[in-house]
Amino acid sequence: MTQKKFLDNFRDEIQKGFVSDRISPNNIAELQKYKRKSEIPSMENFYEAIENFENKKTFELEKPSVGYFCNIVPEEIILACDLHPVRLCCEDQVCAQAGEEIAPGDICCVIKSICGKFYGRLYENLNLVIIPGTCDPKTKLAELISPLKEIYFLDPGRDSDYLENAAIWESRYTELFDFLKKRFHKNPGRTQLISACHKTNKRTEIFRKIYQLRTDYPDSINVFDYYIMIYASFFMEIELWNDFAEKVYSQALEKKKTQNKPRILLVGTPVIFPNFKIIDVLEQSGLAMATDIQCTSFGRFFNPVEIDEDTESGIIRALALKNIAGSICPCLLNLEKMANLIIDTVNQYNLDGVIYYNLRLCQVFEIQTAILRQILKQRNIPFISIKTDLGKEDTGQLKTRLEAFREMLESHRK
Amino acid sequence: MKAGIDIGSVMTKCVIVEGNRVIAKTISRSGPMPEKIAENILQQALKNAGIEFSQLEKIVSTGYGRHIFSLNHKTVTEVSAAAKASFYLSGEKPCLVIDVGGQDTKTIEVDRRGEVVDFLMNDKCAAGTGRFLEMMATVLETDIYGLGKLALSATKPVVINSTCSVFAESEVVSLLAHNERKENIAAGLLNAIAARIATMMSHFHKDVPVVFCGGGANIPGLKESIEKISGRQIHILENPQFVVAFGAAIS
Ligand code: SF4
Ligand code: SF4
Repeated sequence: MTQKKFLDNFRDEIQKGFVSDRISPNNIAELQKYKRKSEIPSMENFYEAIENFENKKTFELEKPSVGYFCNIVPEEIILACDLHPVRLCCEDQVCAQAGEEIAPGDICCVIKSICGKFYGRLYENLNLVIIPGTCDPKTKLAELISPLKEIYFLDPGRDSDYLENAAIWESRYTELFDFLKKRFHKNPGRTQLISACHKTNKRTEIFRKIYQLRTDYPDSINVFDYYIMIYASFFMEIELWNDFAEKVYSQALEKKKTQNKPRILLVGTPVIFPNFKIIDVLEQSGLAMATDIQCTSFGRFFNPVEIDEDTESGIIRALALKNIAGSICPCLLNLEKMANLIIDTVNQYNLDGVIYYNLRLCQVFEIQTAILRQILKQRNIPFISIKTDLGKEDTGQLKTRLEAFREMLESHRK
Repeated sequence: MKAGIDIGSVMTKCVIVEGNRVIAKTISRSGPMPEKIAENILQQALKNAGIEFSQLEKIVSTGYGRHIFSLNHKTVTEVSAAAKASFYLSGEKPCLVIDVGGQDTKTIEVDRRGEVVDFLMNDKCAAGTGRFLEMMATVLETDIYGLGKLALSATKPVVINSTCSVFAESEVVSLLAHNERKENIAAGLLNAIAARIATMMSHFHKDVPVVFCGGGANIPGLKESIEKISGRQIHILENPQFVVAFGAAIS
């Protein structure tokens, strides 16, 4: 679907009704807290990048920037048009509180945060926002923020079967490519697409090394640094990110030390700075997050674009294969594949247990919890589900649950 | 001799054991200074047992405030402590433990080696916990035990649709306004909690004995209500409120 005009006629009314104009969340103190825990000197680069981003609250780039959500929006197509992609997925309490005005009630905090950010004018410098129809709230989000921004709505459907959908996906991606070219007066083709794929593939290559290193030695790059790197990739220029990440990897190689903590697979809602509550508690409970299955990290970076046929449509199909068919988002991935992915990951990396993490009111994650629990239980894979929100009041209770989980895993090891 | 201290959100309990035999137990409200309370009830327990502090080989703290107690040698979570005690008290056989405490409701599956294989706990909200019943009891102008007693003489329990404290409270207020008998409301509230616990139980093996501990086990009628809804027999452990502290002492 191409560009849509939504609430255009009500722009003024909506904006006037919003009181939390110009919010300014301050996450620098939180950021410093994690920076102090870091043992890798070159992580400084990422902390600094985030600090700059948070301080300016906007991105002042030479290139026009395009905001987007979810992995199914192909970053490569945005890059090929010489635009700067910015991932907007957000879990920020100050923004979520402001967002209450736009999306009150029983709506997930991700949508609230995003609404707060847009209506609080933190995204003024974005030239366009691409919103995918992954889940229902996202679909509606396109309308909610349309008075403030130009929106492109991308709906590839909710079936991740490649053979069934390849033609639709190819046409959706091609429409997007054509739209961006026209909208920003660019004329990229096959060469630019290939070059964009090289950049994301380079990132995949580095990410895989880091991922592998952490599964062997989870403490080599602590869990906070790991998610800081992921968050920085939301807005950093990709080549710079690749460069910094490579440095982190080489310094982390010197930090290999074996540890005895139970090794955890963290599955579910993505962990996005500043909402580090789950990893804070995980660490305080004596658990080591050895690896994850989340869309913003593993799901986004693990698979490369594999181009079989280097025509423009061949590349676009390869992008759909990676971003949609290969999606691990519960909106697209069926339960059987999700269960197998978890089981294989646990076996491959010799993990002790699975934490299934879910933000309250996100139905797509929650709805599969009980079934996954049963499937994993039959295979003797220890499983705990944690449902929480952006507030800190339940930290003590979460700690009891994760400590009890740790005690259980330790007793299994004996 | 060893001491186990369970610093819960509502009550703090202390148990002193010699071997696995309880020689003293004390209890007090946790209050705003739980560490102080914990120290006091430990002193009281020592006095009751007629022993000196120096005679304790080990102090293990558990419960919500387990980390704030500086006299301890070790902490365990209330999940492990409840499992340990329940396994011992059920003759070292596998069991499913229901623990209804002030702030949490847990179900814990313990295998034949006495180890936790799986557990479930309510999340952040108070729905389905002792706290929920306390709040509802206040609306009924009694305490949780009074609520249980009322429920025993219900003629026609009402159906309470929500275990969310906020919604349930307004539901109860409106029932009272419509002259519904307190007994029937109390029974409805117990059933609402029991239904939640029965759902938690359904996630575990169906063929092991069920034991019940925590302060919630003392509420008259709650056990029967869970039995009715889950269709399973439940055995209340002796001194249910002290089971977790005992589990800590023998950990
Ligand atoms: S889980 Fe799915 S819907 Fe949620 S952010 Fe990730 S890709 Fe998007
Ligand atoms: S996937 Fe879940 S958390 Fe993300 S926007 Fe949709 S409902 Fe919200």
